[in-house]
This record gives sequence, C-alpha cells and structure tokens, in this order.
Amino acid sequence: MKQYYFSDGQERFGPFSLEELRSQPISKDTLIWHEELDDWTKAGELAELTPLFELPTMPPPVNGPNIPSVTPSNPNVLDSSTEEKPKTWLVESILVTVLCCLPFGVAAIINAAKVDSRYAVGDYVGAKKSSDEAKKWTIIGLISGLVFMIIYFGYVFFIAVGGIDDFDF
Amino acid sequence: MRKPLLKIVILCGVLGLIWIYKSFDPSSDSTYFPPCPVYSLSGWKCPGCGSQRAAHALLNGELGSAWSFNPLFVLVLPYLVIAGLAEYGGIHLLGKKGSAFLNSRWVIWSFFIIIILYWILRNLWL
Repeated sequence: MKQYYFSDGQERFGPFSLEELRSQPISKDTLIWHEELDDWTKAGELAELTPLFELPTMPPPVNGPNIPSVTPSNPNVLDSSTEEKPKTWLVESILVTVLCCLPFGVAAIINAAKVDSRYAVGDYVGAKKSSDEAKKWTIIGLISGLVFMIIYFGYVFFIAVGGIDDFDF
Repeated sequence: MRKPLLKIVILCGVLGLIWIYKSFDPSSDSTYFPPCPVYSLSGWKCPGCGSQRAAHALLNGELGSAWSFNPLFVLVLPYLVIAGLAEYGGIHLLGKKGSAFLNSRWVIWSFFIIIILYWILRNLWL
C-alpha cells in the first residue's frame, strides 16, 4: 500500500493511504510526497489523485477521534523544529578518500551534500536516505581498505615465510 | 558514539597510529606500510596517495615535505580535526553554528570539487 504525505507549506502530515487522503484538506496545489517521488509534487500533477478532486465537497470537519491527522508515532513525520539534520558522514568520507585511497569516499561525499540539500528543503525522509547512503559508501570504502591491507600483509608474510624456506632449503 | 569503551578503544587506536607514523618512515620501511590500492592496481595516483608519508613528515615537523607528498592531506587535516572533535567529542571549536557550517552543502561540494580537480591534476602534472 502506497503511503502518502502532504504538506501545508509549514508542516508535514501523514502517512496516509489513498483512501485516507480523501478525508484530508488537500487541493490540487497541495504538495504531496510518496516513496516513488523524488520531490514534493503538486497533487494536481499526480494521476492517481485526480479522483479526489472530483468529489463535490470536502467532508465537513468533525472534532472527533475518527479524523486521522498527524500520526506522531511515525519517526519520519516530526515537527520541523525538532527534526535534527541526519549525520552527513563528511568527516568519515574525507578520511576514507584521503587515507584508504579509495574512490568510494567520493561517492559518500556526494551523498553527504545531498543530506544537507534535502534537509534544507524540509525533505527529512530524503535526507535520512542520503545519510544512510553516505554511511554505506563510507563503510564499503573502509572495509575495502581493510581487506586490501589484510591481503597486503598476508602477501608480505607469505614472501617472508617463502624467503626463509628458500634460505633453508 | 555514546559507548565510552568504544571511544577509549578508538582514542587508543588513533594515538597508536600517531606513534607508528611518527616513529617509522613509510618511505624507507615501505614493506610495513600498505601501498595505495588504487595506485598499485591502476597506476593512477588517487587523492590519498602520499598521505602516509605526509603524516610521517608532519608528525616530525616537516611541513614542506608533507606538502610535497600530499598537499590535500595537509589541507584537509585541520578540517578533520575540527569537525571530528565536534562530531565525536562534542567540542565545538567554531561554535555550534560553525560546526553546522562545516557540514553544509557549500563546504561539502567545495571538498568534492577540490578532491576531483586534485585527482585529475596530480595525474597530469604532479
């Protein structure tokens, strides 16, 4: 089931199923986001949402528990003032680039930049995704570096042992 | 990074590495220092080539020769120290806003451009 989020320009609401979205106060200009979208998109531009605007009127607001609004249990949807920027992994990325000699660090740096860009426009879910991606590349770089070191020292050890063998026999 | 034991282990590791790189010269004891994987596999210098020799030179106060081994390493080191202290030590030498700026996209893209340019240029001329 696709999960939709919408924004009133200041706060984000969701996740909602398509059915739940019907009861929310959205217009064709409301910004919508779901997992398959790269960025917030106007509701009017999403084909699957057009039936929503063919309803004659919005249901009247009711002060009751049956109206699903903000679901604070979802960690993706927090008030913007409390949402911290995810780790950019820049320090680790640069370390990998400069010390482990592997270009994976560069892939991590690109994602580090995306963390900040996405965070700046309020896309916390996307920022978190980029942060995880940066972390992934940092770790891949680190592990590749370690594996190379192990192979290298194994090789050095092999040569040393081989040398002794040559000497003895 | 809330586990104190992990912090101590990492700190000991860093101090150990500092001792190794100060005491031993990767240029002469090259067997005991791993070479750059990118360089040994492709023959192309990567942005990190020379960092070990530069670290040895820096730890022995030879800024000039550190620069000649790997200027990028010398340039990013202050950044790594300041940003690393903020990230892992909670010590904000430039204030909280300064630490936030160190992780802003302007800084990140600058690093990206510098690293890529340096990577290309050092293979062409250096």
